[in-house]
Amino acid sequence: MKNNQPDISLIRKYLNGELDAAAMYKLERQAENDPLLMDVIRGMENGQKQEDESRLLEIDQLINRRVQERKVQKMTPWKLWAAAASLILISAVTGILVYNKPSGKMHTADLAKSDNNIPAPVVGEQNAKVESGIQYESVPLVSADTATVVRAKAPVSGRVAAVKKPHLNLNDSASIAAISSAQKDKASQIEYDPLKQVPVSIGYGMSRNGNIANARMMKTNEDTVRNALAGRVAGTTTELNEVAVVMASSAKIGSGEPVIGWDKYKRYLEQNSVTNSSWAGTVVLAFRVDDSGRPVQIRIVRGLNDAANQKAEELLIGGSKWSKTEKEVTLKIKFRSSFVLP
Amino acid sequence: MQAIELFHKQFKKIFLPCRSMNWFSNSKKSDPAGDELLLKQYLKTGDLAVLGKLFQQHASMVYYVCNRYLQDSEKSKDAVMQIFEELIVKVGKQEIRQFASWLYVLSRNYCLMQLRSGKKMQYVPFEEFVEFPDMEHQVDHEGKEKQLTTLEKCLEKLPEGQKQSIRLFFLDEKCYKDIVDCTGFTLNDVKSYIQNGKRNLKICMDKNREK
Repeated sequence: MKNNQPDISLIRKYLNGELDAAAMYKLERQAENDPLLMDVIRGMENGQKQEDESRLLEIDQLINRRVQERKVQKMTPWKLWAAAASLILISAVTGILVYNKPSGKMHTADLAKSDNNIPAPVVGEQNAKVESGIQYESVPLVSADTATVVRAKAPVSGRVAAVKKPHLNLNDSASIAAISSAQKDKASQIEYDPLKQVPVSIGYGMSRNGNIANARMMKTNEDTVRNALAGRVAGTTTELNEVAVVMASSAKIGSGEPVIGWDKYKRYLEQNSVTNSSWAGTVVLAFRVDDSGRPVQIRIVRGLNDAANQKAEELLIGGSKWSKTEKEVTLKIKFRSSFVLP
Repeated sequence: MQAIELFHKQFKKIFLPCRSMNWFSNSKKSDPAGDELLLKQYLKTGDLAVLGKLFQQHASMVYYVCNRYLQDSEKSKDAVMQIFEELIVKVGKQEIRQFASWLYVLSRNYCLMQLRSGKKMQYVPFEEFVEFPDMEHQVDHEGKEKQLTTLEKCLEKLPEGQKQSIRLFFLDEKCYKDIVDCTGFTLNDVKSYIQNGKRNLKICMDKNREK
């Protein structure tokens, strides 16, 4: 405004017809070669003197106000440093809290913490360990974020008490292994019951004399499981058998279960998992449930042999319908041989 | 020889800017050095008050440019403030040699964008702001004579209003008002004839040069 005031007034005079012909021509000639000047002249032609002047006054005030706003908002350097330090402190505290937060995806994650006196079960990572004469090997069941079975193989007459070192690794993979004692003629298996969110001990073990009736299935409450995990199951002459706790971290109450109920389903499996062949072992399946409740996208997570795998799939397909779930369901079927062991 | 001098005279008058009449050089308070100083000071300190002071010195130019395109004083006022905001953002990102010219381009582009977004393009006459090359040194004597003939031919080809206005304005050095009096055209007609005539003349000259 201040810089170009003389020109503005000259243009104003030109527009008011106050200039002589030569001066007018001079300005016009200049405007013909200067688009800026031409635009200003035309802009002034479009407006009215009084109105334009009041607008320009407003603009001056607005700019002054705008400049002052920024001054108020401007932070002094020490304030900036303080703000930066606060941010770093908050980030650090948050980081520590997050880092130390126990992986609470599994409700059983605190099992070991609940009783320090109880020797915690051993949880294997990826590699086999030998500890106190007991060999542990971990077998990834599905994927890292679903479940992992850890099997512990004990000497024939090994006692659970041999497992002493409380070493429980509970991480997001929700893998946990428990060693429990069991009767010589039974193998126990602990699985997660999504209905009650408690591990369920299921036995598909083969009787030494081939008596299927001895195979048992029991549901345990948390205390029992703790005892089992701690290897406190009664029986001094028990030997350590395969025990695995399968935890699907994504399991929810009432989701991914057979519609006939776990009890009936397990009984169904029990009755059909006896083979005439010499082989025995476990097949782990993973599958999804379609809208009609049928298992689909079945895949073998851990197979035994072709026959066993096929049989496991047949059992799954021929079995009960499943309640609808978005998550992948993992099922472990243990086959027993009808051959009598020598 | 006379023909060449005449060509020089006519060609300069039509196509070359009148260097003795620099708008800013006439301005008593216009101070490009002062602009540069303030600009450097702002870039160094980041003090918005400095930029505000610099902008205020050109605020009237920005306002009238906006008023030329937007044709509304209230909208022009708002546009000026928006251009100031754009200035804050862009001033540090570009190399600015002459602040006033740079700000003019920024303002004009802002207004054209506003018009484009409001679909008012058809109501605004656009001139082509063409930089005419200094052809004085590009042609030899023979070429100059040839071009003079071409210029005359091209001038003859222009529509009557344009031809008359161009002759009166550039060759006879008549101001718009005198041309209005001489021809009976309206002032706006005269301005348009001169603008369009100049552009058509240049196109015609370019075509002939290519031949």
